[in-house]
Amino acid sequence: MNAERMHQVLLRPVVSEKSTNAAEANRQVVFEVLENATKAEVREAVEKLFDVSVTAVQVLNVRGKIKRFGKTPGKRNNWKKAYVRLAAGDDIDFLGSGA
Amino acid sequence: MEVSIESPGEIVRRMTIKVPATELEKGVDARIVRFSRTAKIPGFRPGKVPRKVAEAQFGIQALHEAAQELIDISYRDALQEQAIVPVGMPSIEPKNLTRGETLEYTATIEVFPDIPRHDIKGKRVERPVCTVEDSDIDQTVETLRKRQTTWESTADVANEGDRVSVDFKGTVDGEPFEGGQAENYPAVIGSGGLLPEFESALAGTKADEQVTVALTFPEDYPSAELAGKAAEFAITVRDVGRPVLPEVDEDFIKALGISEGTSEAFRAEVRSNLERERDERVRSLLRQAVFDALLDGNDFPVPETLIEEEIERAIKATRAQLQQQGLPGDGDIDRTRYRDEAKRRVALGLVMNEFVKVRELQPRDDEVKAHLEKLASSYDDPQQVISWHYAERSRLGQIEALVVEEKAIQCLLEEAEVVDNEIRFSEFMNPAATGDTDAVSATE
Repeated sequence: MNAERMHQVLLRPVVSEKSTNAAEANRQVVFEVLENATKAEVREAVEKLFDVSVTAVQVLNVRGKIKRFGKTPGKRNNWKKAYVRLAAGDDIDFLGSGA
Repeated sequence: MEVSIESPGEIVRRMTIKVPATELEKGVDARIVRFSRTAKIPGFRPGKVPRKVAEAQFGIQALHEAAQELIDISYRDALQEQAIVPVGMPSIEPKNLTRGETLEYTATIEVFPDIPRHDIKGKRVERPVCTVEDSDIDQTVETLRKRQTTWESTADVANEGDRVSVDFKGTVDGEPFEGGQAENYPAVIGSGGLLPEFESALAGTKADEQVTVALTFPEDYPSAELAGKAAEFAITVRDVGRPVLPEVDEDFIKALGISEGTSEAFRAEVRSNLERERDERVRSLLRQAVFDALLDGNDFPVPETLIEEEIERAIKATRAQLQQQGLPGDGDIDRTRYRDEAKRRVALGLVMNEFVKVRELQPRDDEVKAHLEKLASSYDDPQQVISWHYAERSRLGQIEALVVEEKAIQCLLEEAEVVDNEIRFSEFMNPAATGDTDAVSATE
């Protein structure tokens, strides 16, 4: 995978109750990733960009919600979510400073 | 809490205060918990924000809030512990503000100075003494007559002191300008109401005469467009009037509000008015002299904070005054101009306070009432003024302060060496004419 692709794969971290729980219980960090990204690509991108070692990656496709605006039907985009399990001792701090 | 004090200046104290880390942590913790219970962060249900996220989001703010609160509390405690009475607000500089470490800061404050002397024992105070002479009354009567001058038309030429009614039309470079025209404009020659060239051109004219006068507006003329410009005025004299002063007869006296209408009652009234004016002036000069004597050779450091406040007050008053005159009151005002006066006032206030405290002067109710009644008597409805003051504590407080000040001045005067200074009434009331100081205008 070339460097350009590597920077494109990870879109943004997911910060939610569920992702916080996953981080605390299983040392997993959660990302929104490109829809066509593979587990291998996510692993490599996380390892290189955050300088951590990854033990496992699970991915899933999230179906975009159907939202209506009055009569007009609308649909949010589908997206892919990746749960990345880090090796013991590694951590990624999405929250910025503090803790 | 640990407090250490230094005195970098005679009336400056710097307290270094340390608050243990545990207390700081307690405050930060409570805030973070409260935040996580109430905050709404996307991705989390309300009130379900995990501590870790809350800390990351809110930790620094919580730290500052907690520190602020601790500083407030500990500063107040420190003052009490050290028995310091501060002047105004402290300037606080945090030295160490980190979670889990001792909170350390310095608070710099000014304290009230020791007043070396708060009486004027043995000081010389000059008291002007003068009586109202018959000639002074004559002069006042003369002024009153002049105020009622009527003008009698005459066909003779106008002289100094006569009133001429004129139409005039002024032009600059052949063009008429704003305010340069008037009809039937009354002007008293020699009164200085108009430009001197204009007035002198009118002297010697007769009714229905026409003159043209060329003049140059002075450089300091109020209208910037006209200042320094050469102008020409075409003047038509409509009427020349001789001044006629009214006779001092019954009608004249009654018109001035003295119902008996006799010359004796009139002169007595004038006399009592003049004497009242004189008493007022003596009082204010004495007050000034007492203040001068109080501060004379009485050196002590004056708290900067109070000076600044006083300057602020003076500037505010100036602005209000400017606005009342219809001038823009929001321009820049040079603070340094007010400084000396402000410092003097603050110093005076401190000395007076000290004196009042030492002598335990209190306003008595009957004194307050008497003062208020005197103050109210010049209003249309004295009773209303009185009840207005009694209605609110702060208003009454102002009156009480005045009463106390008066008492203090009385007290001070009793101890001072008062020297009577005989002076003629006319000179006393018109110090400018005799080259005296403008002491009164400076005090009020």
